[in-house]
Amino acid sequence: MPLCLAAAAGLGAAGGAAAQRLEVRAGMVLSSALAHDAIAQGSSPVTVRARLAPLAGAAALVPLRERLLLEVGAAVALSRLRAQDGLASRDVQSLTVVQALVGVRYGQAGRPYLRAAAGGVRYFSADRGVFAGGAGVNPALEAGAGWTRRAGAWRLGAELAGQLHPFDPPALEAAGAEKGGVRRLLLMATLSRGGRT
Amino acid sequence: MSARACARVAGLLACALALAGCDAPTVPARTGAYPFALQTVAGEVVMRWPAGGTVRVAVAPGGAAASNLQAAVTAGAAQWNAVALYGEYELVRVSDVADADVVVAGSDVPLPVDVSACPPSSPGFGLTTFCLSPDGRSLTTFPLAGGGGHIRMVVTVLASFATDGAAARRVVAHELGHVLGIARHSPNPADLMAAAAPTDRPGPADVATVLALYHTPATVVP
Repeated sequence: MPLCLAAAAGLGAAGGAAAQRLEVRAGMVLSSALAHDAIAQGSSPVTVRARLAPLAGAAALVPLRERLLLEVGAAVALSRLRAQDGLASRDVQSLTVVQALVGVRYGQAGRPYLRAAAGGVRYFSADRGVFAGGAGVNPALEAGAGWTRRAGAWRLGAELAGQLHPFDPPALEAAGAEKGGVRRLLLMATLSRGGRT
Repeated sequence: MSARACARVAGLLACALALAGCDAPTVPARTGAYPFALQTVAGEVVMRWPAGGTVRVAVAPGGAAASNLQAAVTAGAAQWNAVALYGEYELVRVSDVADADVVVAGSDVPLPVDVSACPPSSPGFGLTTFCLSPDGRSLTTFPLAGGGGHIRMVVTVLASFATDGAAARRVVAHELGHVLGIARHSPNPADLMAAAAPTDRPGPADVATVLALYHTPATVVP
């Protein structure tokens, strides 16, 4: 994968600014649990997760060669942290998830494409609870598939992507958490303009 | 690497993501929790504030130790709040007793509430007083001297401790544990909730106990 990205970067420079495409994205993110906590013997275990959240982002697409695009993008999701045990569930605090990814997209115009990307995800929230002491940038991998269609000078599309990243904020580490990760499912509508393909 | 090879890598990554058995971080059960239930004539009851709620604590005005007690409440609240990983509760210090659920006072200061229906006994170092309602499901309200208010617990701190900053922090942090609903003392003398608190911050057993309390169904809700 790093070889792909390195090759993409080099070829992208040769592609020229005229071929670049800017894409904006909006959609929803569904997240798996951020943590499971057994609490103590005899009590009700807790699961915390980010609620289904709206997502907005943008990406620059640079043609590398026929059917292959370099993609550099960022997105933000506005969510809430939700805790649930066997007794009740409640929103705990606001949660903003920011991601920045670099990847490649492969496909023919007007047909479904595949993309893969790597980068970082960071959670921003009030300095308390699970996020007391903050949360660092987590490396992330994302893979997806999408489809675009020309509409005049614009290109409309839809994309479904899956993302995987570790999650180990200091507060959970201090509580003795074993390492684990989070899966996120992103469903997005895309709108872009520019580019040759 | 050819475009076709890159596409294959992308496909493999997609498959890997779909199949990844990566689960969320798991915090194992904490050990060392001690009994927290309140013993009443009708048996044991679990008393705690509604999960996710805010408990407002005010210091009674007047007396030489008021500023000490205010600092102790602020520090104690921060210590207990720091261990509520999932928003189980939040202790907040308020300045006006009319806004408070709990009032903290030195033993040499007249209480701003009428406690005649349920008077505190003499404090040791500190004492948390509350009274079960007739139906045994909630706590009665101590009316403010001028009427009104919603104070359901009164914390009294022995005056000689209230005037000593470090002692006040220990006693108030311990009493805030009772305010949260830990109705018993820890059998471990090193814990904040031991009968004579040696520290001003909750230890692992105190943390396990308060979290177990807030993830156990309540039978009495203040």
